[in-house]
Parts: sequence; C-alpha cells; structure tokens
Amino acid sequence: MNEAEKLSRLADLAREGLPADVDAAHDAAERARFVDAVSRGAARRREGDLGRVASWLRSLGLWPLPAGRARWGFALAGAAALALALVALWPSRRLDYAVEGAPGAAGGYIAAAGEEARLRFTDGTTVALSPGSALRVAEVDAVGARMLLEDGRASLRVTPRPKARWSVEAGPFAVLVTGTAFDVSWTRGDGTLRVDLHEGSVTVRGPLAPDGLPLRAGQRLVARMREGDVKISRGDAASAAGPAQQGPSSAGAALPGGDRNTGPGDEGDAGAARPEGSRAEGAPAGLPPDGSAAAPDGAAAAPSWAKRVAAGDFRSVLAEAEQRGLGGVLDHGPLDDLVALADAARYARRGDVAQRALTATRKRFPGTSHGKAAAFLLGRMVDDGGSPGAAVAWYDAYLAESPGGPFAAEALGRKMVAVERTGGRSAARPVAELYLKRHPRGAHAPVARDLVKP
Amino acid sequence: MQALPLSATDDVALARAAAQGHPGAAPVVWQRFAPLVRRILTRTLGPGDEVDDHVQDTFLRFFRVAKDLRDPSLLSSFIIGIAVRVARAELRRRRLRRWLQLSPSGELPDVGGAQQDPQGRAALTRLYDILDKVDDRSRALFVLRFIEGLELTEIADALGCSLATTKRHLARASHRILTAAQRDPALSAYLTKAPQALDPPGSLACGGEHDE
Repeated sequence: MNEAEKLSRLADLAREGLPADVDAAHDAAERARFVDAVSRGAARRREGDLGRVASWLRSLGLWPLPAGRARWGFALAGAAALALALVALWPSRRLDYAVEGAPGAAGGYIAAAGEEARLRFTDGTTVALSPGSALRVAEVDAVGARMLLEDGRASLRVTPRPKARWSVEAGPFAVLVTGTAFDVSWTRGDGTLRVDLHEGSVTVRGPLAPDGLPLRAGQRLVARMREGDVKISRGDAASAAGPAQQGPSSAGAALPGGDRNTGPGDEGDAGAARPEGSRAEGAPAGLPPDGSAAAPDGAAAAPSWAKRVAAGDFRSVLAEAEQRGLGGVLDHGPLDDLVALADAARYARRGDVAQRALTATRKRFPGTSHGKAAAFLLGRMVDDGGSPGAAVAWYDAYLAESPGGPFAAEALGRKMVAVERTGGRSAARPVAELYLKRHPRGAHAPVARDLVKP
Repeated sequence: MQALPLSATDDVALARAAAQGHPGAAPVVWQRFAPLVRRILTRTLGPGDEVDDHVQDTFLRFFRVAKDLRDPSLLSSFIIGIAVRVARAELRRRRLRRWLQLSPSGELPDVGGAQQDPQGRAALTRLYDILDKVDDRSRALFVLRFIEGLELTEIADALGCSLATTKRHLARASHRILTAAQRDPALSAYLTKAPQALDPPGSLACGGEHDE
C-alpha cells in the first residue's frame, strides 16, 4: 500500500467514523434558526437606532441618569419619548395578500387560466397576471415580497413605501423594485425576459447583467438568453410597440430597429448608455463597450472562462472552445474550463455543447462535486427538453451520488414532478412523501403536499 | 441558470444577493453549503464535538462579511475559509480549556464517533490524537484535501494561500500525519488491514458523500 492509499484509508476512517449527515427535520430546524437570526439582524439595527435615541435623550437630560443624579421629571419625559420611539421603530407587520380570479391558487402558486388573476397585497400593491401565466409567491415579509414568474406576463403596481423591497424573478433574472409600476414577461420556451417600466425605477439582474441594470421610467429591457444579449429601448418606442407585443407569446418577438437606440437623456443608465445593437448594451459597465465584448482584448491576459461566464460573456467562451477544438477541450481541458463551458453553453442555449461538456465532466471527474452536479444538470436539461422519464434517471443518479448535495432538494422535487408527468399522481405520491420528509420547507413542498392528499 | 429562488442559482448571483441582503439568499446559502460546512467542521473538530452552533456561527459570520467578497465566483471557497477559521478558533479554545484544566484532557469523554467495531473506534481516536498534535493548518489541510476531497485551488482560495504554498504545506502535513500514523500501533494495524477485513459500509452510520 503506497502513501496515497494510506492517506486515503485514514480519510475513509474519518469519513465513516464521523458521519456529518443530519436528518431533514434537524436540518430544517437549524436552517430556520439561521434564517431567523439573519432576519433579526435588521431588528438589531433597529435596537442600535434605539440606543442612539437613548443616548441623545440622555445628552438632553431626558433619560434617567445613574443613581444619585436621577431627575425623575425628565426621566418620565424620557420614558414617554422612548414609548414614542418604540412605536416608531416597532417592526412592521408582515404583509398579506389575496388572490382574485384564480380559484385554484394554493401554496403561493397562482396560475391564471382563462382570465386575468390579480393579487392584492395589504400595502396596496397589486399584481395582475395575464391569462396563461403562472406565478409563485415565494416569500412575503413586512417590506415586500419575492415572486417567481414561471411563465407569462405580470403587471405590477408597487406602492412606494420607505424600505420597501419587492422582487420578481423570472428564469435566471431578478427584477428588484422599491416603488413603481411595470410589466414583466418571461417566456420560458425561448428564455426571453421583457420589462416595460412605466413609473419609478427597477434594477434587473441576471446572467447577462450580473451587476444589475437600472431601468428608468419609460424604458424597456429585453434580454434574450438564447442570443445572449440584452437591449434597452427608449420609452416612446416601448410605448408605441407595447400593445402589439403585450401577450406572453410575443415576448420573444423581434424589436423594431428603433428599439435599439438610446436617448441622450439616458446617460445615467449603465445599460442604455451602450451603443446600439451589441450584447454589451446589457453588460456591466466593466465590460468592453464594443460589440465584440466576447473577444479577449488582444494579447492581454484574458479572463478565465469562469470569470467570463460570471460576467455574462458566454459567447466568447463558446467561440474560444470551438476555436481550440471542442473535442480537445472536452478530452483534455481542466475541470474549471469544462464547468465554465457547460455553464456558458447552457446559458446560451447551446444544449448540444452543454450536454457534451457535462458528460465529459462526469466521465473525467466522476468523484468531484462538479462531476456529481453534472448528473443533476443533465437531468434538468432533458427534463426541460421534454423527456421527464430520462430526467428521472439522472435525478436518481445525482441523489445516489450526492444525497446531501447542493441540488438534492431540487433534484428530488423535480423528480417528483417528472414522475407525476410520466406515471401520474399515485406514482409520484411516494416521492412527494419523501420530499416532504427531507425538505418540509423546500420550494416544491406545496406541490408535494398537494400530491400526498388522498 | 441563476434563478435566485431555486437551489440551482449559481454562486455568483447568490453571493451578490447575499451581499445585497436579498431576503431569499439566506435559505439558499444554507441549503447549498450547510452539508459541506457541517462535514468540514465535524471532521476538523473530531469526535465528541457538537457542531450545530459552529455551523450557525459560520453562516452568520458569512452574512456579516458577504459584502467583502471581492470575487463572487469564489463563494464556496469564501465559506469554506470561514468554516476553517471557526474550526480553528474552537481548537484554540479547546487548547485553552485543556491548559486551564477545565477537564482532565480538554476533550469530551465519548470519542469514537460512529465506528462500531472496537478497532475502528480505537483507530479513529488515535487519528484525532495525532491531529491534535499537528498544527491547525495541517489539520485543516488534511481534512479539506483528503477527507473532503476538495480541489487544491479551492483549498488555496479558502485558506488565502498561493497554490504553491498550499501544495508545500499539504505535502508536509500529509507526511507528518502519515508518519505518526504508521508509528501508532492501533493505526498501523488499521492501515495494514486488508480492505475486505474492514467493516462493510452497512455497519457504519455513514451516509455522507464520498468524493473519492
């Protein structure tokens, strides 16, 4: 036995002797404890504000001083001020909402079947969901909500309030809002996001704009994952084009040429200030402004593929891989490059390349976390491609290799949905029960609960 | 894809969301990294130590400093680095307790982890006795590389060292640990035992991932 084998034996000893898995209930409790602690961070900041108020009152003689110097009249006034401060600083109540026009809405999932559905939040914010669209309310707190637009179009009117925080996530994009009115549509089929901003401002973040693109009132943003580009158009063009392109199915329609132009008054907008027509329009300010953002700058040290993917520059990664020879990259490239290539191909909707890169990752680096994750990603690809049966096999492979892996909850949830599609509710019920046991607060929990109902 | 609400969100988007205080970031960060952090802490600290609070500490520290993460693509290494610092702080506290003789050995009495057979329990105890005698960095390197199977680049990023330094330290640490293990009767016997003579997987309460 050589040294490596002995070290491996010692490592096995530690792994087997010290299992680190915890049951799902324990993990859920610990996660809840952590999320609660993070959310209490804001409350602590409020306590900090209160402390500053107390200090200020003390400096004015309105706060009880140490024994021997107490001035009770002022102390009472201080107490009254404290009560006022407490009222002012007391945490707001969690928002609530009601759904109209979608009788089957459950567990935060709202599907507008034949007519428009509408969500009304207690702060006055409304969300109108176009027919054929589906949206999930993932989280609601005192300052806003986080919603996932799964497909279709939603029109939001967010009531402006201090510290309001709303977001609509569509595919890989997130639209972050404070107080505004806008329409957002997401066509999952071709990966097109469209945001029409009527009032206020929003920031759109996603793989094509990792640093976020601010939008101003009257602007339209169209991001096409397949082409890997983002365009921000002028407000009047957006308004003119609006009615003809309102439906979800038109989200991927070609824009008029004028859409690509940006008005001179938009200099403050990082995305809109770019020249027309290039994907760099939507790229973060740090990227080259020309249309060849994909190409490395001459002989200067080019950023790694991983960094380029992180910057949304998928095309250059794909182009360079093809220039080097795809086969060679897949057979001999380092793990980091394979992973970046798979990501770039997935984001750019080059399913063929993504599949080859993921398969190569699994074949060449089977024991690594990336090799294991590739099983999940392959499953998701074939799932989205309309082969749920094949996807289940990949999800099972991932779950067998990485029962506690980062995609475990998602893999099991997707498996549940895929099994339901292929084998019906009765076949999916055991998977749903397992999902609820392992991930009682997971994203698929509402669906699982529905499936386990008799 | 980088859809934030999904566990499939990529690390870059997740790191940015955490830095910006996005309300959905905390559960996703937990879901993605808690198993890894728990394994690292469990196996760095060794048998007999409850790691729940250390896991919490790791993630709370992360959220306090998430805005300082300069390269969001290094989110995983960043969190691993915090976990290692949490573990090393606990090891220092243990040494202090031992020095103050708050317990005879500074260790908890129930060691041996999930190993069912006496020889395995003894070997595990001896392994962590050896790890107690090496410096904390060597201990962390051994855990990250050999037990958790992390890439060298990831370890270097987590520990804030160059790749060359990491390799050098790792070579030194593995040599030191292996030499001590070979000199130890219990471990030496374990190392020379034929694989088929070891416990079958079913006899151990091990459900974790094996990266090798």
